[in-house]
Order: sequence, then C-alpha cells, then structure tokens
Amino acid sequence: MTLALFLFTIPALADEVVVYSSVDDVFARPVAELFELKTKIKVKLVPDTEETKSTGLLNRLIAEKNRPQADVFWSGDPVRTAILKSKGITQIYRSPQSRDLPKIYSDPEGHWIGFSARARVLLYNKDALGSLPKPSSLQDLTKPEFKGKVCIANPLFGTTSMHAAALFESMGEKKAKDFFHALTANQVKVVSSNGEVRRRVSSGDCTVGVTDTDDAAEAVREKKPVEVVFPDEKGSGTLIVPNAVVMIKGAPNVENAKKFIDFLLSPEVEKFLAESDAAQMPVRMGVETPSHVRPLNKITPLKVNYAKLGSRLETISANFLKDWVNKNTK
Amino acid sequence: MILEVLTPAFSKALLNSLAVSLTAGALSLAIALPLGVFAGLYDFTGKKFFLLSLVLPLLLPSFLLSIGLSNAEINFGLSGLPDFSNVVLIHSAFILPLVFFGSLLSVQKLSEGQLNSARVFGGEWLALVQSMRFTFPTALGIAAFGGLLSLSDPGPGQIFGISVVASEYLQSFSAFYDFSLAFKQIAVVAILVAVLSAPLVWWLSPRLSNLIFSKQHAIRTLPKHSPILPFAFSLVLLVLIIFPFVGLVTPLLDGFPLARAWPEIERTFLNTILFSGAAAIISTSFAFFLAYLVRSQGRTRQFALWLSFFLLSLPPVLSALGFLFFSSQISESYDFLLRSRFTVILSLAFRFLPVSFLFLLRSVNTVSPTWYDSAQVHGVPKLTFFYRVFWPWVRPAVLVTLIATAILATAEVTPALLLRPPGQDSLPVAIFTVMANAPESLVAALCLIYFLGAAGALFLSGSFIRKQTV
Repeated sequence: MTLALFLFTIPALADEVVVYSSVDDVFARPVAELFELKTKIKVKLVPDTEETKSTGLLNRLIAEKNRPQADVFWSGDPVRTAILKSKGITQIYRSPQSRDLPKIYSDPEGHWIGFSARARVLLYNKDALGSLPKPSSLQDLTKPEFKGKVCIANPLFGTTSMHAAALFESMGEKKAKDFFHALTANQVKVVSSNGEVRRRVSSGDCTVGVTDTDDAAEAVREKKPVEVVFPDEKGSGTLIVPNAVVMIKGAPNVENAKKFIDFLLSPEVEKFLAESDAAQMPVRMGVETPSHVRPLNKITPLKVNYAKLGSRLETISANFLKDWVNKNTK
Repeated sequence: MILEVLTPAFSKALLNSLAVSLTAGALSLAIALPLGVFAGLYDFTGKKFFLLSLVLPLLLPSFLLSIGLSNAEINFGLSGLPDFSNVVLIHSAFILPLVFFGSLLSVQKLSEGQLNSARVFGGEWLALVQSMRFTFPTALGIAAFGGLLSLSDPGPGQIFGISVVASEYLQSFSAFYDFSLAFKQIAVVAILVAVLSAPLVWWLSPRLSNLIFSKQHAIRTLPKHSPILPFAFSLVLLVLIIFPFVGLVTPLLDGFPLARAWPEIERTFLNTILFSGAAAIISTSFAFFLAYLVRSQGRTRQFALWLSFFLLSLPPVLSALGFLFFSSQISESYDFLLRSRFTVILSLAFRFLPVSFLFLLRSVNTVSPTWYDSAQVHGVPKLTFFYRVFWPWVRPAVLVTLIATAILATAEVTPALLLRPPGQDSLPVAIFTVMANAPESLVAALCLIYFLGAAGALFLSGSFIRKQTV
C-alpha cells in the first residue's frame, strides 16, 4: 500500500510551479529547463498540442476552475487567454518585465501579457508551383490558378481561428465572408492542423498553404523545397501572433507563478525563442534576432485590436465558421 | 435534446460515421472471416508469427497509423486516394484482428469428425464452405460491434478531413467550450449505440456465449496448406501495418536522432509502464472477480456482456472529463485518488475492464463443473480448490488478459492526456505533444522505439505464455 501510494502520488514541492502550455512541447520545454536552472524552482510542464486542438488544456483549466492545479497558462496566441479571462479563470498580474513590451499585444486590464511572436505566412512548394506566379497575398489563394491546390488548417482551432477572427476584425464581416466563400469556390483543402499544412505543402500534395512561421521554419530547416511569403506586405499586412501568458485565478503557487511570468517576459527569453527552432520574433525593441528570423519592424503588421479577437472569435465560430467548415469537409 | 443536437453538421457527421463503421466492418468481415477460418482449419508456414502480427495494429494509437498512411501515400504517389477509403482502412486495421480471432475461435469448435464428414460428402471445398457458414454469424456480430467501436475515435477522420461524430464532440469541447452540448451529443450517440447494440448483443450473445463458454476445444490435426495462406497474410499485413508504418518511419532515412529521442524515453519510461501495467492489474483483477461471480448465472452473464459492449463503445473522453470535473468539486484530501497517476490508471482500468471481462469469462468457464462437484463430494475447502485446481487452470488466460489489457492501455492516449498530473507524461502522450512541430525524424524515432517496445513485449509474452501453457 505504501509502495503504491509512493508510486502513484506525486508530492507537491514547495519550490515548484505548474505551467500549462499550448505552445509546442519542443519549444516550451527548453525555456522551462532554463528557468529551473536559474531559479532552482521545479517547473511541472503540461504541454498541449495543436493536433489535439487544445482540447486537453483549455478544457482542463475550465473543468478545474473551482480548484485549479495550474499556476500559469502560457498560450501560443492571445485568443485562448482572452477566452480564459472571459470565463473568470485568470487574475491580473502586472509584471515589471512587461513595462517595455508593446501594449498592443496585451490585455488593457492586465490579465494577459503578449510577448515573442509568430506570424501567419504563406508556405509554397517551389516544385509544385512550377511556372505559376508566386503567391503574395491571401487573396491570391482565391485565384483560378490555385484551384484545388491550397491547404489551410481547420479555422475553428488554433492560430487559424485567430487568423479568421482577425480577418473579420480588419476586413469587416461582409468582405471576410466573401473571402471564405471564395476559398470554398476555389476548392480549398481544410486539414487538421498547421503542422499538417506544412507536411502537405512540403510533400507537394498542396502547392500553397497558410501556416505559422514556426511550422514554416521547420520545413525550411528540413530542406524541403519550400519558400515562405509574408502575405500582403504591400497591402493590409501580415497577422502577428504573439504568445500570451496569464496567471490562473486561485493558483496554488502564486509567488513562483510571478517569477515564472517575469522570466518568460524577459528579453533573455525573447532572445532564446528567436534563436531556438521556434524562430519567434521578439516584440520588444532592441532584442537581437538571428539572421533567419525576420525582425518585427521589417514586417507590415495587420492592424487588429488583439483584446477584441477572443470575443470576435466566439461570435464567428458559432455563426459562420462552423457552417463553413461543414461545407468544406467531406 | 435530440432535436437540439441533430443539426445539419452533426447529422452529416453521424451519417459519415455510420458509413465508415459499416464499410470498415464489412471490409474486415470480408477479409478476416476467410483468413480466420483458414487459420483454424490448416497449418502453414509462419502461422504463429502471422497470428501475433495481426495484433500489431492494436498496439498503435489510430492517429499514428493515420499519419503514417498519409505520409506513405504521399511518398508513393498515391495521395489521390479518396479520404473516405483511408479512414475506412485505418478503422479496419483495428476491427480486422477482432473478427479474425473471433472466426478462429469459432471454427475451432468444429470437431474433426464434423469436418471429415463434410470432406467425404463434398470434398475440401464443402468443408470450407460449411466452416464459413458456421463461423459467419459470430464474425458478422464481431464486425458490427467493431464498427460501433469506431464511432468513438476521432483520429482518422480528423487527419483525413472527414467529418465524424467524435470530431463533433471535440469541436463542442474545444472550439465552443460548450461542455453541455458535448455531453448531449455524446448522450445521443450513446443512445444510438445502445439501441443498435441491444439487438446485436441479443442476437450475438448466445453465439458469443457459445464461443466463450465452450467447455473444450475440438482437438484436431491440422493439414498443411499451400503457400497461398502465408501470401494472403503477408498481403494483409503489408496493407494494414507495413505500408502505414513505412510512412511513419521514412524520415529516419536522414538519420536517427537518438540524442534528442533518448531524453523523451527516459522522461516517460516509468509512467508508460506504470500507467499501462497498473491499469492492466486492476482491470484484470476486477474482471476476474466479476467473471467468477457471473460464470453460472445466464441472465446476469447476458446483461454483463451487453454492458461490456456498451461501455466499450463510449468515448474515453467522457470518463476522463468526468474525473476532471469531479476532482475539482471535492476536497483536496482525495487528490491522491483523483489527481494523481492513480487517476490515469483508474480511468484506463475502467476503459478496458470490459475487454478483460470478456477474456476472463471464457477462461473461467472452461473449468469443468465436474471438478467443482468432485471437490464438494470429497469435502475440499473452497480456498484449497481455488489455489490447487482453479488458479493453475486459469493462470495462462489471466496472463494473456493482463498483457492484452496492458498493450491496449498503452495505446489509449485520451485518459493520460487529460488526467496526467503535471509533469507526468507517458511515451504516447509525449509523441502526441511533440508531433505537431518537432522534426519529423524525432517523431519517427519515438514512434519506432514505442512500436518496437510494444511489439517486443507482445512477442515475448506470446512465447512466455506458450511455455506456461505447456
């Protein structure tokens, strides 16, 4: 019995912090290990994956609302943190490290704070493209030459859902709906995740796809015949997707949670994430970026109010995207 | 509630799921019934190997086989194959072994005398046809049941872009955060499964009972068969296992990233063994107790069988979320039960209890009633009878059940994904959480290590059990 209790139960340590993270394990774990090394505070990381559509973590946080296990939620985008805020699962923490971070990527009320970012890019297969013109805008995906050759991830989930909300926010409802209907008419393939978009474009199964910079960077690193385009640089701009971090309301280890959030928002982590395989762009001015990561000030950003995207997504998911996905899946 | 749930999208997903279930069940029946009958009637080169190999699809979570199949099709220029057929193929990989072993057990009940009579009357062909006719009802029932089980698995549908009911639950949970809608959808499907499975089980139970409760096997000498059988088995293994598996591990051609894979193995090894091993022990112990209790009670046994089928066809996410919700409502003094590794173990044990129960019911009922009578006549205490007679007799079957449950529990990702305590991952969960963005070679290396470990355990157990039985 004693042996069983020893094996099954995990004693809570005084010096630990429980971090739920929808950022991919391969990127989040090295940061957690760096924090452990510096502070001697044990990080219990619970990673999620794009493939599970954040089913595990967000639902876990919602189900655990009355007595949370998590101290911190580190999200790959600010929409999930905004949804947690709307459900009363977050608490305000104004980290001293957030002072020199751009305010546009954070919650005005201080529930969530944005930092290192990815971007939504076009990834195309050079071999499959052949003599076709290079895509440079999201609107190009609706052109006849790309009919049946475009992949996007399911817009009900992940950063694709945030992208859809951002398009509705920036284009207005009518134009955004027209764009999605035009994608349908052009026989877009709706696949399970951004990772799947990367896989299909890399193999030439799709000629062009919309994905995140970290997925695109992985394809480039693996020497697939692909190229990355930041869409609409001469137009409305490319959507920037910052990471976001929140402290969970009723967190069991508040002080350690604050230390972890401070660490995560530090210039050191922004630099670390830029240099890692995640190839993320620091949002803070003056942080050094490696040559393969495009600095944020060299990108035309799509102008959106990040604080509004969560509620926008909730509206369009139920009223439009669900039906659209239904029409575009078999 | 039913009208609220049956939106056009859900209805389409439900119809798709039923079409997938039906087609996968039919395909499995068409392939596994003759193979099972042949394997039961004849001996052939490599038979033991092929029989064990057919269990291999059950070792892998369906999403891995799906990704492997998708990769392989792209690599071999077959990406134009319809997505529906891909989803059917993956589900068939899980249903086919069930139908195969069901047919094999069923045909073994025919005595040598019965078979020889058929041979004398109409030759080998008639013996085969009659064996298939005899086996068909059982195989059909198992195929239909396997089809029902596929309703709770969203993996292949999601990977290949086919809308299925299990994806609808996921959407309700994770795109709309609407637990109430998700539970209603699950309830509607559960009602449907109960309605569909009730007549099925009513019809299947006597046949399955006959199969499960047969007191002894007909002992026969099996004639050798031509090389066509090894060829047929190889073809099935090629399509169901080797082809998707090649797709899964192709990225390793660029090198094996052992330095990156090893820390993941080290980090998850203990939990992988603990989750599946402890779940198998609990499930098998409880199932053994249940099987012993209902062994001689016809109606209870029938009901227990129906309940087993019904529980197996419910999505595992249901019990996992139930555990999560319940654990946050009660005092932290119960955390050692509801927020620990034990929670994962308990959830897995509960999930596979029906499987263990079905396995053990068969074994418990092979103990001849005359042994009980003799023990009673001679005044042998029940405990002594249990230790000296009953336990040695059923021990090999208990071992088989233990191993089968452990293997199935290892491949089931959902409970571990949702219920694992912070920092406590198993290897399949680790694969699941790295596969979106890790280098393809790392994912392939982890899959290969996991598969070889599970397959190695399966083959070792096979030989261990054979020794125990001898």
